[in-house]
Amino acid sequence: MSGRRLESGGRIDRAKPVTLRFDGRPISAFRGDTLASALLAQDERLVARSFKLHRPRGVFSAGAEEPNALVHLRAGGRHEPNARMTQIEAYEGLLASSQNAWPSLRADFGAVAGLASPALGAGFYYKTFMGPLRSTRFWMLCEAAIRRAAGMGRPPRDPDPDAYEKVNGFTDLLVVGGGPSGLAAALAAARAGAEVTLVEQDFALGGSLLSEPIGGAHDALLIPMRAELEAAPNVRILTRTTAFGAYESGVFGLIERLSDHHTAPPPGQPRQRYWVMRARQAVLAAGAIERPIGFAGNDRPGVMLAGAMRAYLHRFAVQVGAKIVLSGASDDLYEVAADLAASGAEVTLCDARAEAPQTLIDAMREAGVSHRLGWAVAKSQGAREIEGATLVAVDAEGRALGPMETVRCDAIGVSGGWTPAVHLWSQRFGKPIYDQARDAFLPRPVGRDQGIRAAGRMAGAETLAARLKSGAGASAAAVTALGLQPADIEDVVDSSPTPRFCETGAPGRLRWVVRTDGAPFGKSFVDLQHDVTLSDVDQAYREGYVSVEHLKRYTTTGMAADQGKTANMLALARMAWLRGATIPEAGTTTFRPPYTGVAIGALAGREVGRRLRPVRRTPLHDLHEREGAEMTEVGAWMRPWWYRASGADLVEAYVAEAAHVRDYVGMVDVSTLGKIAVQGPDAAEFLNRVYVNGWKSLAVGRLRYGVMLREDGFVMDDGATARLAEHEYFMSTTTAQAAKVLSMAEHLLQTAWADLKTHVTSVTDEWAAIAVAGPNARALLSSVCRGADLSRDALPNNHWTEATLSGAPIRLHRMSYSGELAYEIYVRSGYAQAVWSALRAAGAPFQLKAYGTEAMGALRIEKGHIAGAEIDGRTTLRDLGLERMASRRKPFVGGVLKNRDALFDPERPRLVGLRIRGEAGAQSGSLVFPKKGALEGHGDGWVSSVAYSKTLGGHIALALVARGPDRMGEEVRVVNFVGEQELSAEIVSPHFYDPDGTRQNG
Amino acid sequence: MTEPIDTARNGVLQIASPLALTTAPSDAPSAAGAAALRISEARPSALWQLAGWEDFEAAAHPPLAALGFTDSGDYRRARQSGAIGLFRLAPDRLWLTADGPQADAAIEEACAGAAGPALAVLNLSHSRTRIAVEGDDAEALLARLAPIDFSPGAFPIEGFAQTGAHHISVLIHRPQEARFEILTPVTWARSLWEAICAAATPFGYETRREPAVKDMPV
Repeated sequence: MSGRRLESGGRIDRAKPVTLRFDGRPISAFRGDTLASALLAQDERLVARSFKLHRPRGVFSAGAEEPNALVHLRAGGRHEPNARMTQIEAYEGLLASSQNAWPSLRADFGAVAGLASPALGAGFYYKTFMGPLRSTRFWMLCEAAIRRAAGMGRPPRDPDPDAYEKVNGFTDLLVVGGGPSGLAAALAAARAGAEVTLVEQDFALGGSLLSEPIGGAHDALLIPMRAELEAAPNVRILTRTTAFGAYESGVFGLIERLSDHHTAPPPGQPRQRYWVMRARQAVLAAGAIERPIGFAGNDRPGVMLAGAMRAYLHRFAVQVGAKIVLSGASDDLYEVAADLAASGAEVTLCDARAEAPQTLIDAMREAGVSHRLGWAVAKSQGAREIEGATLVAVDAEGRALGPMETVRCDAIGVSGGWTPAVHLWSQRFGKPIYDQARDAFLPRPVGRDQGIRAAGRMAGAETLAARLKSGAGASAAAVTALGLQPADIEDVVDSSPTPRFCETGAPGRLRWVVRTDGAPFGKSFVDLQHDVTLSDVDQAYREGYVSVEHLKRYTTTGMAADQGKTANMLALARMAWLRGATIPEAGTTTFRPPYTGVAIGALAGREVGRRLRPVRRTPLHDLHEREGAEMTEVGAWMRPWWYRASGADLVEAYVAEAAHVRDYVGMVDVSTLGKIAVQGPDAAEFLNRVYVNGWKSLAVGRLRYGVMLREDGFVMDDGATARLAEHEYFMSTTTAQAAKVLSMAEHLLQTAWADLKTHVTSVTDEWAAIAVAGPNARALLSSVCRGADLSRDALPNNHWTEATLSGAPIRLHRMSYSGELAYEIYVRSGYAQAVWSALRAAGAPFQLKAYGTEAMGALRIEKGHIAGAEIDGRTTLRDLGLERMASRRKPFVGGVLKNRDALFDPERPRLVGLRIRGEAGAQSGSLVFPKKGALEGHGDGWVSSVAYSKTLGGHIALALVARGPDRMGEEVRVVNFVGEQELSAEIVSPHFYDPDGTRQNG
Repeated sequence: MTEPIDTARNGVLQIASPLALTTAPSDAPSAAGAAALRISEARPSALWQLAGWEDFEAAAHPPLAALGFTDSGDYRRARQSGAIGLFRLAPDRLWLTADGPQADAAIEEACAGAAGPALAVLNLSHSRTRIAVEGDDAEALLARLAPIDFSPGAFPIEGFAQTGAHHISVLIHRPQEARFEILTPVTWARSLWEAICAAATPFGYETRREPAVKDMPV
C-alpha cells in the first residue's frame, strides 16, 4: 500500500461515510470525495485502459482536464460513458465501471494491441486500410472492426428515464469560475449592486484555494468571500455548472448538474438544467491547466500532475504515494514537495533548471526533500503501476546529458508549466496569442469592448494577490460598463496570504526529456486520451504534416473527448521545435464548444418524445378521434386519414369513402388550409401582383382560383380567394405552403410594396373549414342551413353566401376540389364542432359519411387537380397545364423569370394522367420509361400521385412526363427500382373524371 | 378520462375550448407535496385587430377613445380600460381583448363604426385562447418557456411581449405580479398546454378551469 487516506484534514465530511462500487468492488469514501479521490485513498492505481493501445492508466489530474480516468457511470437508462472520475462526486450507491477493458481491467485482452504498438503510429489506419485497394468499401469494412476494438466507452442502450430542462437566464454580470479571481470579480460586482451569476464547475467554490491546507490562511481568505456571496441577494451561485460555450451577444451555454450526485433525481425533478444565459457583461476566470511532461512511460498509473497531488493531499486528505518523485522546472514544485513531505511521504524533487532560489533549496533541506537541480525523470519503471523512476541530468531543452540513475518510487508528479484555460474566450474571439514571458497562450485582446473580460490565471496573473486584483479589475470595468459605481474589495485583496515560498510564478519550461539527439527514450505520450506520442508528432513532421491543423488531424491529437486540454501545448511545442520555429510561428488551433461534453438530453430539455415538436390540431380534432378516425401527421397538423367505420384498413376505407362521395355525399375537415385575411384599399392590387391571374374584376360575393409563383418563375402555391367586401378578401392556401405564402406576402408588403395599403393576417386559427361534396350536398345543406338560397341559380359555382347552421354563422363557398357538387363551410373555429355535429345529425337521410385525407386525395387525382406532390418547387405553370391562367396584361411575382427559355424546353416533364394496367397500383416516385429500351437513367419523368379509383375501375396516377401532352395514348413502363416493380400504363389526360365539369357545376 | 364534448349548453351555442380535454381540474404536486403553480384556461371573450397605415394613430383614435383609451399604447406595456385590454403589436397594428359581454359589445360597436379605407378591422375572437399561469414560481416557469427576461424590472406588471414558446408564436402578458397570461393560437393550444405542464412539473402545479369570464364595466 502506498496511496492512503490521512487520519485528519481534507475538506471531506468524515461524519458521512458512503460506499461506492467500482467494477463491482465496494469502495469506502466520504461525502466531499470524488470517485478519483476515493480510489486513490484505497491505493487503486489502475482505473482505466487507454483508447487505442489499451495501456493501463491511472488518475492523472484532479479536474475537468482528466484524460485517463474515464468510466462508465450508473447502469440501465442512466448509463453514462466517459465520465471523468475526477469530477464524479461520491454518494451512497454510486456505480462505476471501467471501460475499454475486457474481460477485466487488470487482464484486458485488448492490451495485445500494445504489442503491435510500434506499427500503430500516426496515419497507420489510413496507410494500411485505405491505401492497398484504393477502395472505400474495403476501408469501411476495416473501420467497423477497428471501431469495435477501439472506442471510448459504450453508449447507453436503454431510454433515459430522467428529465432535463432548459432555462433562459439573464444577468448583469456572468462570472465563469469560482476560484480566487472569479470570487473577487463576483464579490466586487455584488458590492456594486450588479445582478451577478457566478458559475463554478466544481461542487464547491474556491478553485485553487481548495487545494490549500484546511484551516489555514487561504481559508481565512476564502470563507468570508464565500459567505458574503452566498448571503448577497443579488448573487446567483451555480455550482456543479459548466460554462461550455460562449456565443455572440453575450450568450453563454451552461449545464447545471442538479442530480448527478444522487442515485436518481428526486421525483419530478430534472437531472440537469441547460441554461441559455444572456449576460450584459462577463468575466471569464477559468483558471489554468497544468501541463504534463513527455518522458518514457509518462502514462503509467501513478504518474500525475503535481498540482493534482497537492489537491488530493489537502482537499481530500489523500496521500497518493509513499515515495514520490517530482519532476518539472518551476517554483510551484517546491510547495508540492514540501507539503507531500510534511504528510510523511519520501520525496525526491528533480528541478530541471540549472539554478533555483536558495530559499527554496533551503526549504527542501528543512522539509527533508531529496533535491536535484538540473535533473528530470526520463522514464517511469513498472508495469501496471509505478515502481521506480529513471532520472537523468538534462539541459534546458530536456536533452539527457549523462548517465541515468533509477530510484524506487510509487508515484511521479510532473509539472510542465501551466496553460491558461482560454477555451471560452477563444470560442468567442478566435485564436489566442502566445506570451513569450509566460510561455502560454493568453486571450487575444479585442479592440472594441465586447462585454467580456478575462481574469486570473486565465489572463496570465500568477500570484494569488495578482489573481485577486485581476478579478477585481475585470469586475470594475464590467460594473462601469453597466453604468454602476465600482466597489472596493481592497479588504479582500489585502488579506491574501503571504506565499510560503517564492511564488514568483516563474513558468516551467520542461516539455520533454529526450535523448541527446532529441529522440524520445520510449513511449512518451503527448495526448494521453488518444494515445498520441512524441514519436507520432515526429512522424507527422517527417511526412510533411507540419501545419498544426494537419498535425491535429493526422495524429488525432487534441481530438478526443478532452479536446487536448493537457495535450495541445506539448504537441505544438514539439512541432515548433522540429520545424525550428517559434511557437507563434507554429500556430495553434481554435477552440469550439463544448468545453466539456454535454449530454444531448440536456440540450433537448423537455422537447423529447411526444413533445419533440408541437402538434397542431384542428378545431374538430376531438370529434375525429371520437368518430374513429385514424389520424395522420401532415406537417405539424394531425388530420383524419381514414375512418375505421369505412373499412378494415387504409385502402379498403379510402376506396369506399371516395366512392361514397361520388354516389351520395361526404364531408371532410379542411381546416388545415391556410387562410389569410387580405384587407385594405390596395388589396385587389396586392392580389393582382401575387397571383398570376387577374383579381380587380372579382365582385363581392364571388371567389376565384388562383396560382402564385416564386420569384424564379416556378409555381409556389394555389388556392381560392373570396372577395368579402370592397376592401377585404379571404385568401386560402394549401396546407403545406400557408406559412410560406404569408411570409412572402408580409415581406413584400414591408419592403418592395410598402406603398400598398394592404394588411395580411393569418386567420387559419379563426376559421375552421368543412368540405361537403357529392350529389346530395346541396340537399343536405339546404336542410340545415338557414338564411341562404343554395339553388344553382342563386349560388352557382365560385360564389359564396352567408347562412347560419345550428345557430352558428357560417360562410358557404361553392367550389369543388373533388369534382363533385361541393361546398366549403367556413365557420369560426369555436363553433366548428357544433356545425360538424349538426351535419352529422341531419346527414342520415342523405347518406352522409365523413371521409379522410386519403379519400380526398383520391378524389382530386380522379379530377386531375394538382396538390403538393405536383407543386413540388420544380414545376412551372406550363408543366402543370396552367399556362393559360397567366395574365399578359399585368406584372406579377415570377412573371419575368417564368419566361426563361429553359423552362420552355420541350423535353421538360409535363402533367399527364396514367391508367395503370393490371391489378397492382404504382408507387409515387416511380420513374416513367418508354415501352421499349433500356431502363437507364431517370427515364422520361416520374409518378407524382397515385390512387385506386373505384369509380374508374382501376389504378390511376398523375405523372410528369417529358412531352406528356403529345404522348396521349402511348404505352409506357412505370418502374419502381426501390420496390423492384415494373408496370405498364397508358398516358391519358390528367382529368380522368368529369372533364367538362358537369357535376361540379350542377 | 375524457369529458364529453359539449358544444351547446342550455340551448346556447358555446365556443368550444381547444383545451376541453386537458384542462380538467387536476393536481401534480411537487416532491415537497405542494402545488406551487396554478395553470388554467382564461379565454378572452373577444379579440379584435385594428390595422392601418401611415395615418394609423389618427384612424385608430376614435374607436380607442370611445373605449376609454387615451393613446394607442406602446410595444411593451399593455393598456387597460375596464375589461378591455390594448396591445400595440406594431406601428400599424394593435389588438383589443375583452373579458365579458359588455366589453365584447363595446369593442364590436366601436370597431364597426371605424372600419373603412383607413382602418382595417378584423375579428379574431376564435383564433386565440389564453392560458394563465399563476403562483410565486410563475416567473421561473416562464423562463423555461420563452427567451425573455421576466424579472419584474425587465417585465413589469402590464408588460407584454410577442415571442415564441415551444416553437409557437404567442403573446405573453403580465397582468399581476405573480400571474402571466399567454395568448396562443387555438390550433397549437393543446401542445403548448402540455409543454407548460411539463415545464411546471418540478414546481408542482394544479390545473383548473377559471370561472366564466367576468363582465366588467367598460
